Amino acid sequence: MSDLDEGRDVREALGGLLVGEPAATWSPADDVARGRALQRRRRTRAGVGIGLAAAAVMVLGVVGPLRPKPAVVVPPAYQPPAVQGVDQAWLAALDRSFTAFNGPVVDWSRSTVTPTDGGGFALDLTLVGATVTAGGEDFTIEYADPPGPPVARALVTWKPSGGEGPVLASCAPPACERVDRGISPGFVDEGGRWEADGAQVAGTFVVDRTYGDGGTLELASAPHPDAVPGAWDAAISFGGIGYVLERVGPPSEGSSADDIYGVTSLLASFGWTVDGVTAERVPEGQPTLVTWGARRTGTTTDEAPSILTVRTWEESSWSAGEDGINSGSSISGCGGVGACQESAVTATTCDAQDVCWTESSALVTKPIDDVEAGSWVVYRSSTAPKLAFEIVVGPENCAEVCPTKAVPAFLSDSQTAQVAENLQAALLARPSRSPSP
Amino acid sequence: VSGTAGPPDFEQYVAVRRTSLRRTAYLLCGDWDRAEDVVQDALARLYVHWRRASRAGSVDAYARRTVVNAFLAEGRRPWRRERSTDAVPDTAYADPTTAADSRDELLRALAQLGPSQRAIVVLRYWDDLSVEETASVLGTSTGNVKSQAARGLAHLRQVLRNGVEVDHE
Repeated sequence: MSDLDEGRDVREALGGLLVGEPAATWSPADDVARGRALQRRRRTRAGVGIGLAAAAVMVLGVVGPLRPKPAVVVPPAYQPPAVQGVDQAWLAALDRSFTAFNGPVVDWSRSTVTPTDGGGFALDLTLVGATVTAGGEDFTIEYADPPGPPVARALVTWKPSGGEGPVLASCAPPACERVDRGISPGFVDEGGRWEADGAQVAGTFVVDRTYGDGGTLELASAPHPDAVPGAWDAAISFGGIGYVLERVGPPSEGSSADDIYGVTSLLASFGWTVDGVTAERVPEGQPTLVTWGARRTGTTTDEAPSILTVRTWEESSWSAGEDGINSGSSISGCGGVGACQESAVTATTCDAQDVCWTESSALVTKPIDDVEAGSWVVYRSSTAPKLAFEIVVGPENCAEVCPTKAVPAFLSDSQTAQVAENLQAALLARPSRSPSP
Repeated sequence: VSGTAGPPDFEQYVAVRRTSLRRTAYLLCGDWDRAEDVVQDALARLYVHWRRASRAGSVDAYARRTVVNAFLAEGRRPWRRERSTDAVPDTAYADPTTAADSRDELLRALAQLGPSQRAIVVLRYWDDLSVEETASVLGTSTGNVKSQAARGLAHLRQVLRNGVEVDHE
């Protein structure tokens, strides 16, 4: 059974402590009120305007949280294929999630990616071993080329319109037992496991995660039929499947169309799990703001889980203050009392297309709205055409811990620059989504 | 319920998950009043970050992390600093029933664990999080979670065993 059963006696004893639990003395509406009060306090503290931040210009070279990382050469067999209608970056993130959990990598040369009706897809993945060098989330992979023998198989199905996946649908007694997995606010999980060979081989575990918007992501993990005797069995059970599903999130319908400004695959190559469902676009013809996020889980004591948010503004959707900075940007909140340090305004640089970009950056030391202390903010804008974007990368949730810690290295100097360059190029390449003034 | 509406679904989420978060906080703090403080603090922070947390699709993980962080941060405050100790003072009130004695013993045993180790034990064996999920919540390594959980489990089991022996004497 699962490793959680090891602690069954303790779990029951802990449950016994809750006997006589008093009723809560407050209502959820009180939590809303407290949250609003906290939000107001933070906004007041952050203040408005970039003036003070601009006055505190420092040399960009003092940037603390940046460090270079070595490039990793990935042999072709390990690169996810570009398949029409399937988000390549999501495939890369899925691959990395398996590795993050227990070490195997996907041998894409022996795997299939099949688009299905309605924008879905089905994956039949062959997992092989690799040498993973520990280093928290920044683990590096040493690939065997050519790939070694299979160590496990994973079947993944994405059904945007929902409904049971094919593996769970084939789960029937006596070989397979359905297992209630649980309900969370954002999704419902249903699972099954094969105790004996049947529609799937014994030892197969499957979880169908149905999201609030109706899409279903199915992940089945099975021993590989072609695994050589003695090969390491990397098939995962419910805990591992839950980890991978949580980490990778649902594929984004929108991201496959434009790879979210071409940055998702870049971030995936940095080890980030890109949450492709986060793009929010207001209807065409109105001011356009795109916000999306990526998440990376910290696994060392020095590294908090981190999140990257990109916001872009196009054409008429923003107005600048006297300093030329979009007043809706997070960096414009740096002007409060000591909200930011190491603020810098770089010289304007013009690209090959004669579009000139001005960059401002700052290290946030006190929370600004939903930007945590310890975050690094990079803002770039051009006047002709009128475009702006902002990258915020930092700890996902500090509570009161982060300010007492050294700022972790979320993205290296060169990685941040690459993300910015991609955004810049992609914004220029995109057709206008809102009318010019 | 008042008419004040938070961001979409926040209030609904709180209504559904508050009890669970409060229980986790109680097992961390060993005190219902402190547990309420911790959860209220955590939910206020969750409100501020609600859009981002729900965008990232990890509201539960975020909420749990915030509760644990609030608990750990509270322990860092000098007026409420905790230390692991073998010599836990007697409680002022000794419940006459055996069940209550065992319960008291278990609470003491939990209190003897350091805050981080207690959080690991509670997340692993009460919230049923995997080693990896627990490591993610606490921002620590899986190896640390495994070793701390094993030690914590052994400590609690020793207390539980002793409690049983006492019961049978």
